[in-house]
Amino acid sequence: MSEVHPYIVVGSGCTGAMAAQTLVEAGVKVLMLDAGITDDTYTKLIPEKDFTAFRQTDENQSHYLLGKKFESISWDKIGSGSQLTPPRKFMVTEVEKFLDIFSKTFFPVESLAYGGLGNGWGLGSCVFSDAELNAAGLNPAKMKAAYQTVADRIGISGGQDDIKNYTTSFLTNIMPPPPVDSNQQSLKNNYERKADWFKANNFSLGRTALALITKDYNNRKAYHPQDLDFYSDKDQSAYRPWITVNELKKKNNFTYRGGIIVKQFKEIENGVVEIAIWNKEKNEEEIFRTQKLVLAPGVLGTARIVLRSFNKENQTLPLLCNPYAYFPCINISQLGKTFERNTTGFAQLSLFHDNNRQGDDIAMASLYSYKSLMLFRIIKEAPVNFRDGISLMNFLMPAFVIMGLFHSEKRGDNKTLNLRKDTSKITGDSLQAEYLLSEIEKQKITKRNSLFKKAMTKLGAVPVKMIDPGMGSSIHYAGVLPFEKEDKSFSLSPDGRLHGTQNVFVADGSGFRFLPAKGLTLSLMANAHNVAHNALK
Amino acid sequence: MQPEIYFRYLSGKNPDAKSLELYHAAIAHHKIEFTEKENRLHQLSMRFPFLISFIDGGLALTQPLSLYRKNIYIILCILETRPAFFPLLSSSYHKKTANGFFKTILHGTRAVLTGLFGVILVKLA
Repeated sequence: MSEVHPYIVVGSGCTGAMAAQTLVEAGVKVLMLDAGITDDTYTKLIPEKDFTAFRQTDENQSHYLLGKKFESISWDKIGSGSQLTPPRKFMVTEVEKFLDIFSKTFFPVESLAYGGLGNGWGLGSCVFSDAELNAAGLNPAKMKAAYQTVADRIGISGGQDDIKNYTTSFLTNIMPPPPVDSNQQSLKNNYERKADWFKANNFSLGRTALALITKDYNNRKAYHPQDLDFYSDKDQSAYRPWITVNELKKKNNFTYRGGIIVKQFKEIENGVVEIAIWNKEKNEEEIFRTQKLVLAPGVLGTARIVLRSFNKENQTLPLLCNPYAYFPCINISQLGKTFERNTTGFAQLSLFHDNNRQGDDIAMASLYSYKSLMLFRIIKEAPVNFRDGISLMNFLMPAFVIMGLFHSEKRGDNKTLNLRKDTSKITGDSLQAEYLLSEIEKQKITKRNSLFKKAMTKLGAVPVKMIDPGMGSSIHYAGVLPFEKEDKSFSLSPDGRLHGTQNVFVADGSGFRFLPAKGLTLSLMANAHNVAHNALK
Repeated sequence: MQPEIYFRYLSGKNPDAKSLELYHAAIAHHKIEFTEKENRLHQLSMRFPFLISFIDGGLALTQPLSLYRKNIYIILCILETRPAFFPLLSSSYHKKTANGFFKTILHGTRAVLTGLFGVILVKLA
């Protein structure tokens, strides 16, 4: 009989890292099992210069701007994850091989990377309102305490303005936001000038709260914009989960094992959990045993593991994903202006629409300036010849504002997952997903999109196109094992334990019964902290 | 594929050796096999390079994802990562021209007219 580990955490993403930190800080021994793919190609190639400087001098910039296999040259229709830059592409390495999913209506992004999808997190940080927490099945009092714990761990910056209630709300120790560029400052000025219209139409605009430190914090350096936000995390000012895991590796009660794909588990005698894994390096199966298993491989990964474990081939699970689309807009006042050097690629402003001012029907847009993602990506979208496209886009680019719009999401009959046997796959199975919005939901989204387009026009930025990358592109997934008070199969108890087991806990968003239209990651991490805390009992 | 002609179309300059090397490497990864019609358009472009902007513009309106355009797009991507061509693709970084607005109107008008003529040309080819 192999060693029985006190705690095993599966996954090193935002939720796995937070759960592991909570357990390690409580003094228990933790083993983290993770695929742990890292980027050993691009990070070291990026020069110690800002974006504008190396563009003028570095003869080898195509390696990290286009990719060594030119993987950033994407010609087909824009889909989930297609905008990842080469230094971020490692996030999706080997995903097709080990995380097969088949769907004609749902196109998710998954990750086997060290730090998971957190490597590409846009850093948007929002607390959920009490109404939203209740709808998601989360305990507001416990979540509020957990939000503060997580905020203190990762460091958050944000504004003290009209959207504070939707973003950092009751959180303390919030750092000031990074500088805003003139493009977005002009929107802010228009918002203030037309405050009556925005108030009457239930819109609020303010600085986006980000998991980005603007003061030195916990051995991490304060943020200095270099337009490299989509390429490099060298100063560690942007929170990434691997920062936490790297710190945990220094502790005696934490062990990390990479190169592992967790397949399934079963509870054996005395509540011990046996975990079957695939060791990628040795190309063989192994068994681990633990007293308590905390699953945090991401919602779709959890669905695979749980369905395999209960061997329920025809079992259908519910699924939630925020509908998302983005809208390139032209800020008329910025036409023909020049780019400012060293601005931020992260969202600078957020626009909230609180339908009835009750906090239970909110949609959120993040506003980005477009610069370091390169001209070619946007020229491709223009319906003109490329030569004139170069001149036009050079003129328009400093005036571009990209609005990324999230809608809230409830459960529905045609939003489901199941696992089917497929011997052609290395895992022997394939996840099948269906995600169809009802006509009423589509109409509501269309109406909300129109309201946001009107609001953007009032801010001075005229939307020119809507790009809908399809369901799954928000990278916000939840709800496959919804929280249930009663002992019901394929659901979680309110403390995060998987019903039908004694010692299997789920720390990712699998239990959320509702997805508010807000940055999700802070809430996922706060829930992971709570679940880990419950697993200690 | 004779990429030099498309490099000149986009930048007005001949490509340097490194740009050509990158182009051939990119084509090895992004295999481009023209359809019969795309091949005819390509042959037309080789004989009459001034037609490229019409063909490109016509396809942008009718078949924006055609492989003829993908070939030019790959060249555009490479140009944007070459320091020698930084001024061409980054005027928004360092230049603020008084007549920029009128130039843009001119380019916009030209782009639309080129596209409309291009649609006819592509249909006839």
